[in-house]
Amino acid sequence: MYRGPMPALQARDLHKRYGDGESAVDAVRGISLELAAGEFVAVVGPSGCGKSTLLQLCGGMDRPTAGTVAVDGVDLAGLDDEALTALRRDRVGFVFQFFNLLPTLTLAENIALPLLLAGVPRGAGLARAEEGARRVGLAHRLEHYPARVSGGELQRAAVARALVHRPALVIADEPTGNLDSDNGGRVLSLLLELNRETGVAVLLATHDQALAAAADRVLRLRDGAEAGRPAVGVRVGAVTET
Amino acid sequence: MTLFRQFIVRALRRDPARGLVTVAGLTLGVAVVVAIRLANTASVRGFETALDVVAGRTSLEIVGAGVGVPEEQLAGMGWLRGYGRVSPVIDRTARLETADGAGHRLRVLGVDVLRDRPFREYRLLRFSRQGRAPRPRELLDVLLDPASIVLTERFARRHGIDVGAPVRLVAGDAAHEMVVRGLLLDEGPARVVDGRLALLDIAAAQWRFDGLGRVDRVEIQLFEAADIDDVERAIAARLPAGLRVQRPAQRGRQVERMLAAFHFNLTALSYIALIVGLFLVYNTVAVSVISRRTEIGVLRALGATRRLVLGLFLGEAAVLAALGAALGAPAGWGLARAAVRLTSTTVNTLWVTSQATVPPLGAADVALAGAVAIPLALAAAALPAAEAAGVTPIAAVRGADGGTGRGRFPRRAALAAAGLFGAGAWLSTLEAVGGLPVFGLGAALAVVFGAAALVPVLLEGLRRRGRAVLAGRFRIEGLLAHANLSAAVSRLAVSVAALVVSLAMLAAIAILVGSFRETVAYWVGQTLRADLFVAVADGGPRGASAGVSEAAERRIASHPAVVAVDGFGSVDLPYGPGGDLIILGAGRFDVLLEHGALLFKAPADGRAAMRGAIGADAVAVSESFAVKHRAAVGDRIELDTPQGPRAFRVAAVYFDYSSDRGIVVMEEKTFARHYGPRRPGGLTVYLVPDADPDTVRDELLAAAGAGHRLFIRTNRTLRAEVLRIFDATFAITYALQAIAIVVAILGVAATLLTLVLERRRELAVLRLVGAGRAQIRRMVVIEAAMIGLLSQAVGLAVGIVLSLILIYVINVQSFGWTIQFHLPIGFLAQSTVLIAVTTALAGLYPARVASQVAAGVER
Repeated sequence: MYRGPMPALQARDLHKRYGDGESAVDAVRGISLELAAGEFVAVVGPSGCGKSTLLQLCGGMDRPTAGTVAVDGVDLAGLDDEALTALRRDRVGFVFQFFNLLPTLTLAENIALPLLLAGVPRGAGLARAEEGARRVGLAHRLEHYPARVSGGELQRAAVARALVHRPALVIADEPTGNLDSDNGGRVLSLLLELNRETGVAVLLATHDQALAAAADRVLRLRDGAEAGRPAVGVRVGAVTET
Repeated sequence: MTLFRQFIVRALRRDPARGLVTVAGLTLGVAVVVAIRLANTASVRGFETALDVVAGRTSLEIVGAGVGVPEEQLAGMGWLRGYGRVSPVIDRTARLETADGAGHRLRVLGVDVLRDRPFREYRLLRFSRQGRAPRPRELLDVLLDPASIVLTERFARRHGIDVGAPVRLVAGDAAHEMVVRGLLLDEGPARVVDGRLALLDIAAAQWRFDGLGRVDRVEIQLFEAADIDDVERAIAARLPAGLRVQRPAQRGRQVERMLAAFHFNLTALSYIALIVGLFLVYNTVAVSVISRRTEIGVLRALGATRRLVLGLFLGEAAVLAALGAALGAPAGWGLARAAVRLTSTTVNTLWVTSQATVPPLGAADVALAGAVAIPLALAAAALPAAEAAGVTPIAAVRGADGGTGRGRFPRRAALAAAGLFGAGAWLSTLEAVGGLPVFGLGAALAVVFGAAALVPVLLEGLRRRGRAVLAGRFRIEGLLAHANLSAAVSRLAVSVAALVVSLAMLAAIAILVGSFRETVAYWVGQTLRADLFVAVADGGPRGASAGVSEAAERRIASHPAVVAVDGFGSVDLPYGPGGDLIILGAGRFDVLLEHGALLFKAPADGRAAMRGAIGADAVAVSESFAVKHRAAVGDRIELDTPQGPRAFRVAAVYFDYSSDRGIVVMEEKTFARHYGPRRPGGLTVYLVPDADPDTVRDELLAAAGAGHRLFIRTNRTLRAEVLRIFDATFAITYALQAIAIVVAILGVAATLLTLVLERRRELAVLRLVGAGRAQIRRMVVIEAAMIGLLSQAVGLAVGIVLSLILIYVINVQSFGWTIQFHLPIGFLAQSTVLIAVTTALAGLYPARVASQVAAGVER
């Protein structure tokens, strides 16, 4: 197994169960995953296979039922809500299928958001946002509101936002799923370029086999477990099932 | 119906906070309206019940011009007995002292027992124990002794008095030893006035109340009650000059008219709270619609008609309003009891003496509450419900992204605001209708709605100009707060408008009351020049049962420190075609001119005019009389006198704030020439320059002797008393406003909650990219405080305009007073800080809800 100086992401034996009793659903079953700094990993699999859940666990948006996640060397299990928030703000970037920009902020403000939330002065934050926007080709759209720009531009702004604070890890969930192939291709190449330029690790979920092919490594999921491997028993408290 | 239960009722149950805030707001609004209605009814009804009870089976009554009916005239009116039974009555308010020294105000009726029996039932405790009514002879025995008095069983029981007990009846400044000779059963008359009723023989009453040779009125019980109109006309034709015949209810109507302006203004105020409550209904239904667009879309896709969707949401408003009405009516009853305690002081001090009691809450009141609240709530919900009905299945299911972050300039709102302000300016120039400031209030309402229409314009201004300021001052939280507010301009406009309206009313009333208080303080300072004010102990400020006796006045005048004594007496007199009760006063103009002061409105040299009025048929009139009855210096006004109507020249108009009924004052000797001699109800005493008023007061009281009761106030205590009464009068207006503001702030909280719920998705993204819970909370609290400050800023500006309408239009039309404009800056500054803090606090709950949104994305 690869042993780097400090993996960007280290997930061990992750389980996520929703609900309990008979209606319980095991969305993720015993997945382990490690991303070295600068590594680009694609997660593929059919709808409902647990890709998004896995990304949420790895991005510190949700907590696993069992297993551990460490981002940039920090074990998420030991963090309270505030600390987890701070970790997301400082070390993780997010790109989603539905862009998820705030409609009430300009693109510049949207891109600068992680910095502004971290207390970087407005002027400095916006300057760095401008820099990021230029990198993704949006310098001319800085003062526009999300409703006034195209889907492709929105997603490029989201990419800029995900990277503006120089995170260790970018979580990208179907970033091209809502775009036409031209724009999708453009966003993908942006992600790849930035991955190489900045050395940020990228964990990307996609349906798109072509997209997956561009990744350093592909993780195939089926029914919440890594395809081709037998699902490992789910440990929830003292109960063990197979 | 099932759909309503599933779709609306369950949703309300799932999110109880939203429903509760709305119901609470509506409950308060309805409560205030019901309370003011009940309180108003109570103060008039209190008087009317007393009137009905005392009137008994009287069909008509004969009254004199202010000073009762002379007995010599009565002697020549034997013909009255051809129409029915006739009974003369003395009817006063007097003070009764029990053995323990406590004093109580009672209604005292002096009647001729034998003649009066058919009019009123006298069921005495003693005889009812024997199972029979008293025989005439027995009744006569009870009252014949001039020291006899009959009290009610209820009053006696409350104060531990028994038959045979000694009590003192204070009439004028004299206290008379009396003996309780009987107790009226706790039923009928005795019960309705809460037992505060006493009976005397008419001769004893005339003697005690210094009214020998006169009765207060003559009551007639007709043989044929059906012909009452004809009989009234026939009697009127035969009555000697100076007397008039009227129905007993006429007095009630006079009182009602007297209080009409006061009540009208209170009622108008009370509706503000309700209107503010309706903004909440709008809000709730709007939230309902917004947060459930997708569900509505599904319903529509599954075949629900637009009409059905409309019905569902209107139904929600109706249910909330019905709840608010059901809870608000009893709450209003409770408020009314509190309000009556506050206003009865005012009404008693300023207008009439009566025992105001709040009638029990009837089904009619609850129905009225519903009839007011439900249609208004439906109107308020119409807009959002129509929005719901307009949701297309596709748009809803797609979950179209809302919020563009951009807005157009709300040109229509700006035009509406300009139009309404213009209408307000025009309405404020129109005359009063029947003594009520209908157009004046219309002007105020136009300004209020104009302010509401201006709100979106100002919010748009804040959107365009505020971002740099807020982001600079409050960093990212300020930026986000500004962004959120900007995106919600149309949604916010309604609740901000509600807050603006109630804050404007508060500012306006604060300015009005502050100005009024300053004016009154100035007036008191200028006109209260005497060192001591002597009043008899039994009556209120007016309508004492008898005046200050000559002996008492002589004793006071002979005190070495006393320089001069002025006497002021007054009677109530119907005036003009409407028979409005004015106050006819008599004073000593020479003493007033030498020692006292009046503030004259006209002519320029009022003192010379007053001097010219001495010995002539001339009067000085108060400003409110001049305004209401359009009397100017040099005009001749016609007053009823015992000799019939007489014309008097108006010599001067003076400022007065003691009564809005209108006061006409004539020189004491002029009064005596027309109305007969009458002891003044109060004296003003001027002392030598170096005398200590407190010492002189104590000496005068000590010299009065045990059998006399005088109230002597020093100049200082009377001034304080005037301002105390003034403050008590306006306490209720502040209470009403406080309620309206509470409701409005609830509205802001509800709106913020709406916005938070609408923005769940954005909040989740914010949390995702690293916004801490504390940051989210700060953001919402900043939004709340911004709303508060903006509303207060607009509220203050509009409040100043409103106060001008209140002072220069509504006040003048209702009361006829000149009030100098004065800005109570301290109060307004305090309220501004308070509003900012309170609205920020109101943001705490929505802030908490917002901070609990989990990080993530919703698909």
